[in-house]
Amino acid sequence: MSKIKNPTVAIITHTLALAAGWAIYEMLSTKPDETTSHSGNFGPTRVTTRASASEAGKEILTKVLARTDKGAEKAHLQTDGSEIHPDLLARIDSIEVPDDIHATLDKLVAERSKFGGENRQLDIEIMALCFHATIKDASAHFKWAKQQENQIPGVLTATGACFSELHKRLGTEGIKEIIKQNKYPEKGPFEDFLIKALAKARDPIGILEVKELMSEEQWQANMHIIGESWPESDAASLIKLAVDTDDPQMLAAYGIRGTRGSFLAKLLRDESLPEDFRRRLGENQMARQALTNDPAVPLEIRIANGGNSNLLIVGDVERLLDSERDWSFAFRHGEANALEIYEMIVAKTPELAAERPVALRNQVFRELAEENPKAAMKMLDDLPEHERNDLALFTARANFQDVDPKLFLELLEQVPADTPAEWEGRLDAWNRRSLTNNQRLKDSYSEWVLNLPPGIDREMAIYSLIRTVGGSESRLGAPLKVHLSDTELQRRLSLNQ
Amino acid sequence: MRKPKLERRREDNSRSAAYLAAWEALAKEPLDRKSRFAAQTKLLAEWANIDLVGALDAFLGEAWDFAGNGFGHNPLEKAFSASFMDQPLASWEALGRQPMAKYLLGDEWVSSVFSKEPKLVISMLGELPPAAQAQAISILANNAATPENEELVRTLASSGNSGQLENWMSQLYRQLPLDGESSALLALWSKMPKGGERTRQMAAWARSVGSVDADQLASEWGKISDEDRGQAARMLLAQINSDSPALLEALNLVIGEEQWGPLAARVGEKLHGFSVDSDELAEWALTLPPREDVRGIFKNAIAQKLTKDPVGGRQWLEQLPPGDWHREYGFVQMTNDSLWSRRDPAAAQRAIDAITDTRARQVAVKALYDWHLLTDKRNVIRAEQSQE
Repeated sequence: MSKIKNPTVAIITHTLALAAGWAIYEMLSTKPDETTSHSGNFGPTRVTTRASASEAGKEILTKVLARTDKGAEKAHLQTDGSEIHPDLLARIDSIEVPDDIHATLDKLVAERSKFGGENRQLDIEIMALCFHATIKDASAHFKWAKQQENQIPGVLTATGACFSELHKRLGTEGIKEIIKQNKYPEKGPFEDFLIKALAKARDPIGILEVKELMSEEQWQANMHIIGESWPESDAASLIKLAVDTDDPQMLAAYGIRGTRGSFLAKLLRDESLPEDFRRRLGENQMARQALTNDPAVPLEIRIANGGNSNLLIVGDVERLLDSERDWSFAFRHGEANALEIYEMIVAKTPELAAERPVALRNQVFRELAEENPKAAMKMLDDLPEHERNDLALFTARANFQDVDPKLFLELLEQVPADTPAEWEGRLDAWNRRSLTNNQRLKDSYSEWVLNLPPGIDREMAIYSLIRTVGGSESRLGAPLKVHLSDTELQRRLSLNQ
Repeated sequence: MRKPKLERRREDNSRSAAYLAAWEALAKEPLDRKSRFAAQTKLLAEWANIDLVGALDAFLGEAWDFAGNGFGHNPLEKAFSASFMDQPLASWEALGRQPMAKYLLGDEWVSSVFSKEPKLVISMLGELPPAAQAQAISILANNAATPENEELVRTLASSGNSGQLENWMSQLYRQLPLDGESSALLALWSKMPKGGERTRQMAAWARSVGSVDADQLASEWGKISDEDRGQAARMLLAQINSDSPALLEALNLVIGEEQWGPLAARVGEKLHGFSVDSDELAEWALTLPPREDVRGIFKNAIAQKLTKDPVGGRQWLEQLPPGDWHREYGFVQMTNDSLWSRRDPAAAQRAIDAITDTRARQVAVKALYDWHLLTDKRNVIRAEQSQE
């Protein structure tokens, strides 16, 4: 990260700098076709250019996906103790450890506190020194950290970020000794991470030894960490640990999210487990939630644990749209069609699909309409026109809260405004969306509205925006009125203002 | 040796085209959402180094994805952090090419650039969208009190027009710890020449008034010249809140200075949590001038009385003369209270029926409609479907 060499240069009149910046971006931003036009050879060069770009693009994507899959390249420094970032590891090894580590840390933390946003270089320095301070004298380090607790970054968090490397070098016994050095009643940075590491390693004895170092409250808070971290391939040993410690809630967080319910439903029926243990497991809130959320659990059980079919439909559709692949994203880009997505969801929610087919279809439509309205409308081809229009308008009114306004408009354009009900429904949709879009996008939304092509949607967009801003931002409301030409909307405006 | 411009330009353009191809090819990959975001973030970050405008255009196609719900942040925003830091002015200009981009990425731009070139952000504050301005001021307020930070605050004090300065300094001092005694701060700014530093000290004084009682405020107010009272009123209004013992006195002073614009801007919310008997506050509300600008203050001042005792509250309103502004808008508040505190649209309609003023009635009817509009849940299946 370069420093500002000459502050005066950095504060040059920004108009001049903007002009310079604009020139740079004009140069860099030329689209590929403009480049080929410079070559003066449109046919073969153009094809070659596109083919080259496509091949180069595949190569770039392959490398990016490989790095994403391996998780080897992280944008951010991990602070959950699971893995150490290569940059931090390198600095731990290379840093010259001062005699008075905490005096140096004091200076670095003071420097770091000047920055409200990220400062990767300083964060790494601080973390690396916290690592060495912990190894040198954990008790002194915890004492220092306690005094620093309001600084940025949290120095205990910074220390915890080094956990995986400390665990690797010192082993579980070494970490336990460090945990014992924390003289404060508040939890230190390592207990949760150690429990997590031992759960991943399926080490029940190690876990029980760490339990002795914790308060009962800390132990209870760690139940879900054990369940979440325990390998999916070995449910039997986790069940044994949970039964041996009489902690059924350990099982509530076990397994793949979305399928935990099936696992728990089986356990609740397993008469080889103590009855009281199963009763308490069934009463556990996390377990009940898991039972409700799993589409593979019998519908009767899901509803008995607090679900209602409306909410189950909404939850299942949302979860299944990100199961195996991001189906919403695929649909948005034309890589999956609405029918195949709908059929996938039906296959995974057979009971709901059988009991509430229309509601399920409608919910899938509502989600997909936010991605690609025109393509989603194909789901409704078999419906009578008035039902199709009614559902589309309902979706425009109920959905699209944080969606590109252009897509909202695209959905409305699939619906006529011929009947009074359709006209009112359309206006209601605009009223709702202008309220939220103006809050979020401010002037840029007004600009978008004023650039809409002439027609009923432009009129309704202007009306709804005036209605939204008129009171609190009247300086904006006044110029908007002159653009409103629909006589009915003008009449309504005169009543409201 | 650096290649000639045209050759560099062709090279960068073809690399950007390659990234565009990669971006489009990503859509074909069967990734889950988390992996998709991770891959896109990586692509965008690399692409932004070569062609920021191209990368921004691609981002805007996916800008409406959130990891959570509501007005959250898109995980892809972080992809631009390095580019924003490395090329702050050029990146700001690039954001300006797409109006919505400034609003979607303004916060990220401020956070990124502030960490490296805080003076630049401060010098550009007037151009930023309001939310980004507020974020920059917050970062400044949260920074430790170092000579470098003081320099930034001085730079801020020499930026913007008078209205912006009042706004920025008020926001800054609202977030700073109380520092200084109010009468000493008043004496300090009174002696200063007009300008940014004076406005700054006025904000500090207004902040300090938060801890004085009504008598002391009145005494200090008496020492302020007529010429300065308008600005002092605005600065006071910006800082005073429900923790201030002199809140009602302060509001009376601001009303006395006829600062109607500032009074109309959500000032009523300052009464939430104000420690005073609800009947006393409601009686004070009857002294407010019958103006639209103070309607927000009025409705908040009577809200607790109406919520606590709707029947008694109605009787209290009914003893006011028909057509009286306070009565009419009192029933408007009763409409809102019925909806938001008790979710009772029938009671809201009864309140509407008691309103005789046309304009007040329209406000109440709109409130009922807006309540329906805002409280319909996104995920509710329609009533007719639930009967399948």
